[in-house]
Amino acid sequence: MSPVLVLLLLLFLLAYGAVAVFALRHKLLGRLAFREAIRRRGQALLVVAGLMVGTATITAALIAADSVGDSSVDAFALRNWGYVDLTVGASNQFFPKDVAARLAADPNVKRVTDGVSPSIEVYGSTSDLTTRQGTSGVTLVGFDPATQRPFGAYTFLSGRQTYGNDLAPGQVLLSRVLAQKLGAVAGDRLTFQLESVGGGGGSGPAELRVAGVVKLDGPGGYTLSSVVFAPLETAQALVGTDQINIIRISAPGGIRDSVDAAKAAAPVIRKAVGALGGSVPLRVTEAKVREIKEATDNTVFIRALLIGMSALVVAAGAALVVNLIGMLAEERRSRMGVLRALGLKRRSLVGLAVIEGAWYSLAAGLVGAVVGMGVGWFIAVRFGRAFALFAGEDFDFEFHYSLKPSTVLAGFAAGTFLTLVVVYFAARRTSRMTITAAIRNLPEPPAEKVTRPWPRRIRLAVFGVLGLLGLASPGAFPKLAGGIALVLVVSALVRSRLSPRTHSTLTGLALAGLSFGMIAGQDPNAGAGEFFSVFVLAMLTAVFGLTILASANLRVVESVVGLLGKAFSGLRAMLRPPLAYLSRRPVRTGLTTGVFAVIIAMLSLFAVFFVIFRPDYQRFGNGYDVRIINTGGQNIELPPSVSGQVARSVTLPTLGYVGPTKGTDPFSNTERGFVPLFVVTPDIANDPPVKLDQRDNKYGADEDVWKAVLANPRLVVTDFGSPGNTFTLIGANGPVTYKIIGSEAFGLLDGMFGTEQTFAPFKGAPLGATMLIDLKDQAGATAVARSIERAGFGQGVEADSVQSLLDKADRANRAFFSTIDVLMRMGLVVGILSLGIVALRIVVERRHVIGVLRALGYKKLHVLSGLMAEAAVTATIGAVVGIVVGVVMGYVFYRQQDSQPGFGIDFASLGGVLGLIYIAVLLVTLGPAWRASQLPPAEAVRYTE
Amino acid sequence: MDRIIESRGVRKVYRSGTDVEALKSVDVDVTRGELVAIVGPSGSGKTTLLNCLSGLERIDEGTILIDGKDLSRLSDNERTEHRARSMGFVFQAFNLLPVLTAVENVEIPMLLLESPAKEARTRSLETLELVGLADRAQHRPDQLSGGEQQRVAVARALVHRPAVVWADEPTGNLDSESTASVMDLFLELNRAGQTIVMVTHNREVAESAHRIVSMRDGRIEGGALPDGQAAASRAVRSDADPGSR
Repeated sequence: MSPVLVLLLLLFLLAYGAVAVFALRHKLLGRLAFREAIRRRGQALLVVAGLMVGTATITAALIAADSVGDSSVDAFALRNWGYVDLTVGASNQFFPKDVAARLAADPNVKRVTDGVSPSIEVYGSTSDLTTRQGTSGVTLVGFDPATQRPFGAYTFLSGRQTYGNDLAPGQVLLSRVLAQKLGAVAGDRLTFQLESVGGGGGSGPAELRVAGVVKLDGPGGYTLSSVVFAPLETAQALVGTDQINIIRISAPGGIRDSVDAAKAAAPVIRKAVGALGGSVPLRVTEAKVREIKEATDNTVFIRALLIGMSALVVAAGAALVVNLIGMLAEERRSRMGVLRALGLKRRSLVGLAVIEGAWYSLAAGLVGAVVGMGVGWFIAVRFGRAFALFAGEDFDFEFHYSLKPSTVLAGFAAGTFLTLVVVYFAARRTSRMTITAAIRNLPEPPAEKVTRPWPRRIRLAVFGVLGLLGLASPGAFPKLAGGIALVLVVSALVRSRLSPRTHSTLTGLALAGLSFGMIAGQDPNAGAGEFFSVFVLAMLTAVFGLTILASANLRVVESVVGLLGKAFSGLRAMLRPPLAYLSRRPVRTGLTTGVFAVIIAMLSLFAVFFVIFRPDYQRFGNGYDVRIINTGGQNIELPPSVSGQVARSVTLPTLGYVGPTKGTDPFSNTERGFVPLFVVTPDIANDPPVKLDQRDNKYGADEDVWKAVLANPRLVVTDFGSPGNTFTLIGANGPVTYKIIGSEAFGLLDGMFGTEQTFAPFKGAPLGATMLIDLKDQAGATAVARSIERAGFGQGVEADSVQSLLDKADRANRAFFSTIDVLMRMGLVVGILSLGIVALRIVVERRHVIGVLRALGYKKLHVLSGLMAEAAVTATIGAVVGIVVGVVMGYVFYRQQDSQPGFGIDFASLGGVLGLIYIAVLLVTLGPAWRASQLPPAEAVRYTE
Repeated sequence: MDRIIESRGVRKVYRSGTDVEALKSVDVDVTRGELVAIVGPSGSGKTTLLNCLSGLERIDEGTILIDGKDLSRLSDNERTEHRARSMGFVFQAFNLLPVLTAVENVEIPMLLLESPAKEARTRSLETLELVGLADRAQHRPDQLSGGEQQRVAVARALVHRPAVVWADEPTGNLDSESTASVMDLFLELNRAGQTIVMVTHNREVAESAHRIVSMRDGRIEGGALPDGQAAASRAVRSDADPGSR
């Protein structure tokens, strides 16, 4: 059981245990609370529905995070490596095959391993001569049938299995991914092209025969990508060597349970490898263990993102809980007043509300956990789609829905605990009542002034000191929290000297300004946890600040309505009371509008992201229309039918690095990454193939970045990280760390740009070529790409239109945002429910006022329209505040990524959401507003008398 | 005699479980410029009568003519419009909107009658001045005393110059000083020609009226018609019982 789960369970038991003890000691209160809870089933359902939001959101976020984590580990570490736990190799260098045999013969190694197998792994292009389809980026895995058994059998799609012994010379197996790309089946004729591997020359394309297509299980799942599995001798013949370049080692425990054994085996194998000697320096890599760690580490970002976003919804849910408790308190005020008159202490009244809240909260926790499982599944499916899009068609990414009892328990405990805490504080607030006024349901008289000011002064002093300490600390989160505390302290100190409107306006501005400032000044390379905690707090604070600012200045709306009133008679009279209620009860207004604002802020931020991250074909493509890749050779020959259509072109020699990668950014760490290394010459740097998406602040223009790349072999341009970060690959003599000074847009030329000198440590890597062509008529790009692929299928040439590549990247981006969108839409439901509950509260609370207004001459329609208008104005304030916060934050992010193409908002997506919100708001408030309008005036007036 | 209110055979039944006949064939008239007090023991139907006469409640039988207009034939909207135009209300609990300032509360009836904003504001301030609260115009109800709140309520009832002001226990929540002040205001307004009908259980307040209508068990016991004013008043003074429905 994880410490977090233990803590959550402890908190849950403490909180509910205390409530249970209280209820047992005060049996009357316990009975009353239970009866109140079940008295009105409709109301109880509404309350449970509102209270379940916290649990549902937390459970959904945790389940989605588990699913992402487990699926990543499963795909990137377990299925991807199969039975291979450790590898021994030298970066892009070949070594004698007998090294493997000598290692396997070592008794110590024998003791800690299941198998040691000599292998070859190289990259190139392949072409199916039968289907006339070719593709690049294919791995050739040469396996040794004699030592294959511990690594499992290859399973044909038919179910038949083989260890390779029965394959005739020249026969190979294809991974299912590759077979699908080529349309290949058993019996097809195949060629595999590669050039300049390990300093030796390939023997050129030799004809192979497909023995069968294998499942992505066991050894057939190796890389989960496009692979030609060939018996070692066949592979060696293709490469033109009698050596190997990798030794695969399997530790006991099979695919999934070998981690501990692999860890234990690693030092033994290192020692044995060290004792082997030899001219080539060999390195032992704990491939699977490290891949599991990297896959887990990479999901920290996703987990922090999901928990951060769910925190926003939970905050909105907390506001909903406060509104619900307020609604219950309003409805029962008279009864509670009588109980107080009969001798019930305020503390007991709070206890009564908390016991009832505990019943609701437990029921809501159970429902919320079930709802959370469903929503978690929905988010997980969307993540799966996003991951699959990012991974591309060339990678078999399977997403699994992980439902762990411990996660559901954690969501339940966290949700119910938080709900009970909010219920307690809300109950404390609603328990304050003047008994005589409560019994007669008269408005609460103004609170008496506190005669002892020192407790308040002490509180302010403590807050002030904590604020200063926070500001002085190095972390961004304490700084922001400290700043907020100081703003609130100053606000409390000057409150009596300013008008309420000026006070609220200045406080709101200060809070919002502070939040925006903190986001703008945040270190983009901060850890995911810190980034999202600051982001969430800043977002909530900015929303809260602007909400109280807006609420305090609603008089402006009143004035506008007043101006309209000149044109529309009666409008002013109709809207004055609802607007007055909104503007003169800023806390309550803020609570309701804030719920909306938080969620709309996020959706607005997405609307900005959709624009600033949209594919700018002209810019990102730099005028080029078609991209051609050949991983099997340096030459790309265009067919004559295409040559005439080309206005200009550029060809980049491209090395194919395969091996461990390590970067500062999430997702850039892996044990077997494929990174194309694009070689930039001075000519190419003068007319770069891509325009940069981002560049280091030190460089004023793209040209400066390219000049720096030419001048310094440690500086690179890559989209495997952000400018300012580092990116490390393993060269012939060990790790090589580069500094990223510019990034190209994702999707077109994903890889690293440097000079020949930059990539000198990877001399042995397979050399291919990447070509960009600018067509005279760009409309024909797709057709041209097909022609090129058809003509070059023999070399496994791959061609795509630039637009389709950028569109694919954009789809992946959108799919990623759509995962968060699910949580935000849950938040929207909370906001809409909140407004419905507020409307219900109004019917109870303002029954008397409505009666008076009706007596004075308000028609039913006036009451109906007034309440609807109040809901619409509340939603509008929320929308305006949310849009302002979202757009300003979007702009701050845009400024941080200073080379983005242009700032803007996706009005279509935002408009659609706003339209739905208004329709939903009208629907949920119509019922209560209708009920209010039907109140007989005499009855409503009598209600308080 | 210029009768502003004429009701004949007014019957009102509350239907909740068992029917309760709150008014049993009530006839009552009010002359323009009169100050009428309705008195009676608790549950006698005083407030119900006021609510029915003012059009706040529908009646089950009978007719009510206000300025010659039969309220029982009007739709809810028409009665509401009629109230807005011709009537003013003062309630026991003041019933000011807590979120509006004094002048904003007073303005409501003017705005409902679609008066221009400037005129509504000017007239409201004048009316507040009339009730002696010009300097409290920008205060919210919770910043005013009970007597001041009730005077604001009176200003709200008068601002649009209604034909009748209905007052339901207008001094019920006030101390003796505030009661005297509010009643002085009513008498002053009445002297200026304002018709006022009020429900009260306060003997002194009732005695300051021109006529006292006494009720018991949903029937008028005396003072129903202006002609019988003196006799009814005497009868009521001897046995009026505090409390109201």
